[in-house]
Amino acid sequence: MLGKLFKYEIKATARLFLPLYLTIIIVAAINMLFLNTPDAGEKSTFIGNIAMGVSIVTYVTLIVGMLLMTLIVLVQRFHKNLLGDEGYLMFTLPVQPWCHILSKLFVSMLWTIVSGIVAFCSILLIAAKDISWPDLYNELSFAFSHMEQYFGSLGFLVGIEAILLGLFTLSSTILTIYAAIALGHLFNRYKLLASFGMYIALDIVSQILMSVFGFVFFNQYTLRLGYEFIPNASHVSGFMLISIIYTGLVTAVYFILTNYLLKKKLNLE
Amino acid sequence: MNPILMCNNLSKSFGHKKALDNINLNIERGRIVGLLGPNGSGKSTFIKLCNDLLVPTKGELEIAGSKPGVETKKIVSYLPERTYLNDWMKVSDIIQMFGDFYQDFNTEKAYDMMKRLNISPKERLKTLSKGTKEKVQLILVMSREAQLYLLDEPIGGVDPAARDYILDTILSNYHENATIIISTHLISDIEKILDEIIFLKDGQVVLTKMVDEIRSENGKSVDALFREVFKC
Repeated sequence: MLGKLFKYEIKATARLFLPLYLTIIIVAAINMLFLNTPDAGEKSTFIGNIAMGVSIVTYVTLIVGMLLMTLIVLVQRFHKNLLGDEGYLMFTLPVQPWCHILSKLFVSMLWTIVSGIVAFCSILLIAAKDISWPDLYNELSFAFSHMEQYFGSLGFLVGIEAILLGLFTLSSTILTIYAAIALGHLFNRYKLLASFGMYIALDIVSQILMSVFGFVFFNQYTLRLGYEFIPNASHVSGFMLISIIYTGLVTAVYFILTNYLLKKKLNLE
Repeated sequence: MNPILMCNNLSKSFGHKKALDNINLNIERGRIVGLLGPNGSGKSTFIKLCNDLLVPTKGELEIAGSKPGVETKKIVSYLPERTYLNDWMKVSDIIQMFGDFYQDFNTEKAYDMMKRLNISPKERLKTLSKGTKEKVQLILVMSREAQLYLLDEPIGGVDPAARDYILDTILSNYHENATIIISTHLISDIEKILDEIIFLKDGQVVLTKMVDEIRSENGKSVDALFREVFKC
């Protein structure tokens, strides 16, 4: 059943994201052509300049639009599909509420990551001609060899930790939004406004907890070692591990809270 | 066989307001039951509790021996009073979705009924009129071979001409052992198909009776009895 929910969640969102991704890649390609016209600098015409300006502005607008849309779709899919009228169908499917949360969470994470990749690729595309690929390769391998020197045998572990930390940071952020919307829905009126207020409240709680958490775990290090403290590879790895645990806990707490609210406090209008 | 629906001292409050107050019911299989009462008497609250869309404040509720949850959702077909169709699917997409999630869904039957009502499967749900949306929902709900149908105001939003068709659709599409609970305040329209009635008033059951008994004992139609019981 979880697989089927994924399928429909992806179907419902892909129709919004895929055309936008395609447009961004096309506009990026147009920008690349403008920037790489051999004599763009010397013989540039008035119309040529305007066309180039328009294509740059379009590109930037699209990138900003993509960021906004990722956020809006994330909110809308939860708010409208589960807590709006469509919830009458979703919550009478023979599926546990946690499956709904998980399918929405994973699909939102997926689109956030893909949006990031599309943005990155479009920048590469625009700059494609200015990039000297052998140089880039050399620089990258240089950077990697430095990292290898620094992290040594911990390199692989730190890499995995970085990915996990990224994923948990993303999941905890999205679940904070879900929990805020579910809490806001408990109010009789001004549900959306209440959700927004709840998000701010949850965010403040998270900040406080993070400060406490950080103080307990990290300050001992820095206090003991003083200002001259230069972290070595195992410090970095430990720091990331603690951060993973923290974001993992936030993810779990908000998942459980959202699930409780959808299961026990649901009250569709 | 156990009754399809059973509740003991079932209550639901919203804050201080009691929407349902100590409901005790046993509903047998193979019946068409009218859940009748004025607006705000708790009809929708009761149906939502049966669908696990609300959690009882107190008391017990069992459908075919289990509490509302995934197991009961497999055998309960629910028509809410709201339109739950999303704005991006085609009629054929939502038929496929029902087939994917409900094992008792009969896809062929759904297409057949859509055809008879001249609803094109290629049509987008977004562009359908309100009445057509209600018809699509009713077809989806009645295309399931469920054990319990919970229909909340199924004829509220459609014109009288379509009402007869809808009632026919309901009657010709359920198994003998299935039970249908219809909530409405338009009694005269559905009176002829009911086996049993439940009168709800201010969250309490004031009467449960077989329709035949009402006719023979009280010598009245359900509509006349309703007007008597709920006289303002």
